Amino acid sequence: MKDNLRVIIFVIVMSLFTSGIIIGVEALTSERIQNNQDAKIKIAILEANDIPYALASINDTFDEEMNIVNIDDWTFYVNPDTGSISFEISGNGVWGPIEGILTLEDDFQTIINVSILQQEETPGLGGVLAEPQYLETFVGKIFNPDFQLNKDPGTNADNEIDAITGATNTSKRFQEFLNDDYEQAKIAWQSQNE
Amino acid sequence: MKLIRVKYTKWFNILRDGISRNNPIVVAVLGICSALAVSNKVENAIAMGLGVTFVIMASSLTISLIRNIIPQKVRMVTYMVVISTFTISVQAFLQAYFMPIADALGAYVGLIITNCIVMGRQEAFAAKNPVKYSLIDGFASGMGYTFVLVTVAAIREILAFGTLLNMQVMSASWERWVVMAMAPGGFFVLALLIWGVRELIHYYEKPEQTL
Repeated sequence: MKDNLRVIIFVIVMSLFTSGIIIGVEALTSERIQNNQDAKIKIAILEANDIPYALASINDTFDEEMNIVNIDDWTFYVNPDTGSISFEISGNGVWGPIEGILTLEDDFQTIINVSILQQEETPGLGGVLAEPQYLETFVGKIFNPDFQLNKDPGTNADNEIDAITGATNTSKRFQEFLNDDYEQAKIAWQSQNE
Repeated sequence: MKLIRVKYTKWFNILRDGISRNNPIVVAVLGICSALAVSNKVENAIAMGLGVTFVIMASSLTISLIRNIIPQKVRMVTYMVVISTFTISVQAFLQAYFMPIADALGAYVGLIITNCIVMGRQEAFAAKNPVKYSLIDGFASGMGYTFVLVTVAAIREILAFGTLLNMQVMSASWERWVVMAMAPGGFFVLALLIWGVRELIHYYEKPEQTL
């Protein structure tokens, strides 16, 4: 009985001690981690717009170069010089959430850039989605009226690129939420700009 | 005169054991999973090595301090809780101050928790030895791990990307060995390294005795 009591007391003290450490670390780092997450979005948008930046002054550069437009639930990042529009896209992949940034020309149709900020797809298969070589194939394609990841061999139409070999589900899910988000963003954007 | 005596001190022997004779990767073949995964770039290898070293040292310190009051029944759980706490701290620290490295290492920082080297040193050493030696032992094992990781990473990075610590070392026309950046490259280099080091320290596994 005495032994059991000792174990229980030990476990309680141990948990309090370790929780204390974790709470302390969290308090020290959470703000910086949040800033880093925000910086990731800003880096992706600045790179999509070909705007040079330095990591140290990223917030200033971003505020200077980009206009932020909030419409309904959507946040659009607009480049006043070129009129290009960036917004976040997100959805579920096979193993976890996929998040990215879609940048379109001022016609809200032509793709300038797609970047992936977060994904947990199978490395080498679905993970190809986040590789620069693959993302480059999106450039210049058009939402007409939607976008397709084409499984068939042969030439792709204006609104098609190759699907990822061996990653049928990643391709399918990415296509679905890309189109859904585009559709909703388009409605929001046009409601404001007509 | 003093230099010769150093060889017979306990701390020197613990240090040497961790780095060569009992190297966690080369001799004990522990921690292979993360060693293969993060050894494609020297930068990542150094970060991972230091992370693991910190977790081993901090856990060894804690376990060694409380080694006399840990109840036998819950000792494994205690190790796990302590190791997890420090791993989470390392992860938060990397995410806060070294975001690109945290991204490159991905899930593997969190997986330090399951790195057998850490658990092994707690059970085999820290639970039975005073704080001072536990710290040295933790440092030695961590450095042994780091040393192997960095060596493998240097070979892989040069062959796969033509760079070392992101600086160009091979000529611009260097034909990249893509395989070296992928998992098979890790297996090849690590296996050759283990062979080489075992020859060097005359470590041969004896055939198992069958009754």
